[in-house]
Amino acid sequence: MRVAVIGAGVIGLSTAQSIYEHYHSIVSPLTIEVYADKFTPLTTSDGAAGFWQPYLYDKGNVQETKWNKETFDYLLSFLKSPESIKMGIFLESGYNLCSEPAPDPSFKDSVLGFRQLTDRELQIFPGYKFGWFNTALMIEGKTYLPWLMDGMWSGQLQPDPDLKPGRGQILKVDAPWLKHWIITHDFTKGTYNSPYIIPGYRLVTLGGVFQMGNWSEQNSSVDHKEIWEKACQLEPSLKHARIVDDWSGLRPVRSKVRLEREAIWSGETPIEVIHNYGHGGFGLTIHRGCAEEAARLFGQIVEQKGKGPKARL
Amino acid sequence: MCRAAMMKSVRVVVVGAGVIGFSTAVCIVEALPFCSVTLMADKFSPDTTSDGAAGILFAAQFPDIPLQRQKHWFKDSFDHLLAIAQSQCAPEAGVMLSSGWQIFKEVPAVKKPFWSEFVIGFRLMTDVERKRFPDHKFGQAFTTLKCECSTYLPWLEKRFRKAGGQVEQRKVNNLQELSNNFDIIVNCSGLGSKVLVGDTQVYPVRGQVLKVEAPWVQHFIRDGDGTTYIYPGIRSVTIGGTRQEGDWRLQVDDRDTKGILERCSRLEPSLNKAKILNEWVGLRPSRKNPRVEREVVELQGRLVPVVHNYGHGGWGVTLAWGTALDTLGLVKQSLHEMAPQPKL
Repeated sequence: MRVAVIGAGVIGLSTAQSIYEHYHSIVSPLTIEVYADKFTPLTTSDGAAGFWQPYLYDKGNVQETKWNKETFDYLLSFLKSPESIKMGIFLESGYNLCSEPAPDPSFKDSVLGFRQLTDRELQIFPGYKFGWFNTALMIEGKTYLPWLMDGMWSGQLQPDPDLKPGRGQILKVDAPWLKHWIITHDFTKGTYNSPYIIPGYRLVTLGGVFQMGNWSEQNSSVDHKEIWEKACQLEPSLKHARIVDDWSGLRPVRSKVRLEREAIWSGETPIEVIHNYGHGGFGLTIHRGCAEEAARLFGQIVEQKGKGPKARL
Repeated sequence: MCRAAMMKSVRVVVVGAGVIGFSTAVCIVEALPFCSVTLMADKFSPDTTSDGAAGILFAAQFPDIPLQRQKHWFKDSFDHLLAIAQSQCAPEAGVMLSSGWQIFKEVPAVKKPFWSEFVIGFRLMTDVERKRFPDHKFGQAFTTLKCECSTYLPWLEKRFRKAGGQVEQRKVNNLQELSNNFDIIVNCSGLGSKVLVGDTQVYPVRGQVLKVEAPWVQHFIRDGDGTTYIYPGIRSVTIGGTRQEGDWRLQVDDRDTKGILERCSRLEPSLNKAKILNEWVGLRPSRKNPRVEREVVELQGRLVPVVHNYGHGGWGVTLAWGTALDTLGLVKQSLHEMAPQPKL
């Protein structure tokens, strides 16, 4: 079978990986080719801070919460091996801050040591009255994507009105004394339009921009100023941090993830398509769960085409 | 004669330039602007014992010091450093917040130590969190502070000088040498007190550590036995260690290096891939209890108040500010006793 995977961000590469893992010994020959105009380090996944955390609430999309948890558990299982460094994954704890009490988030049972913030902790963040502390995972695209590509064959797409860009901009600064992520939430402004600080492997990501429908991938000096000032307000020690980089990316936003089969007719035989897109700002967070589901759909196709093990009897 | 004029002539010397010496000196010079304060020491940062210490705030419990006093020591130190950590000065002072886990192979007698109320978010580890450490049956999770003396001591020195303090590099061999030029002696000489004031109760506890490059390690991990620990810092991760009582060796011991790497990698396997930046040995200035008290000593015919603040063992950074404040209180008491009766 020949499989073409379109897109080489975390979703494309991990989907290719899951299909390969489950079927390369069942379907023979199995060729998987990844097609994209951008590869690491130029994809949206590369620019993202690389912090595992879904949006606070899944709005009834329980399937997405399940896939998020699956991804977390999968990545966590690698931590006991030194392989984790090659993958760019590590544990990091931190604070989710809200200006008023809020219901527990969808991911409270997925992360480690989830609890409400104590009064003492809230004193550290004036202006915020409520929040949570937990230990989560970092997964840095610039390291993880090359790891996914190891062993992959690479080669050198359908308008969907529900798919829109959610423009984000971030700053990368040198502030190695920061070891906790801090994410603030403003329910009037919407997800990621409120400051966040996410220490990474070498640099700290500062952000808080989510502009629906904005296709510009240019850095905006207005956004830069807003991000920097808000971050310094949240974490005064940043005043002395050196700004190293600016980056903008377009989150592939959709009302919910599109993960399903579609047959596209071209002549007499249909081309089987598995869609796996629309992960917004939580692609790294959900990638494995979705990739496994895509591999399962692939398995259905294998069955239908009679290419599975039974075919060899 | 007014009190201010009298106090202007009081000359205070603080002996020792480690974290205890400089913390004490800063407390005194900032609280008593009418005293002249000199800090005198043989070794300064980066050559003090404090410089190699990871500087994570933890405490032990000393047998003979009232618990209330120990609680004050810890709380005062913690609150002082927390205020710095939250301010713009944090990177310049070398202070940061650090979250992590203290794990025990056997369930300890005391599950919630006295300092648990002073650190942040103290709780017992969940079963899922403990799964990462299969050799350990029990654990505590909390957020504490890390204070890196190789950065903190120069920052304190700046603060000390700004408030009018004088710094002098000189090895003090005995208290007699000081009695001519100073009215109050504050002894923060750590292990040096063994010779300087003849305290036979002071002994070294040798500790060896490695500094490695592992920026993906964001949490501290400490074995409750105090001998194996991983402390991520601003630019490196300190891993250790050893606790060799009565051992005066300052050279790196390769067997200890091997032991440290083995024990720490078992807790955090990714450390196998970490580059070793350097190794260091320090002698914890240990004593059954820290000596924070004052006495009056006859030196060259004069009665000189001597205030002691030494013997903090491996808890110097943790207790520095709290014991410095205590010491300041003792200096004030000494000043009060020295004040001449008003002449009518």
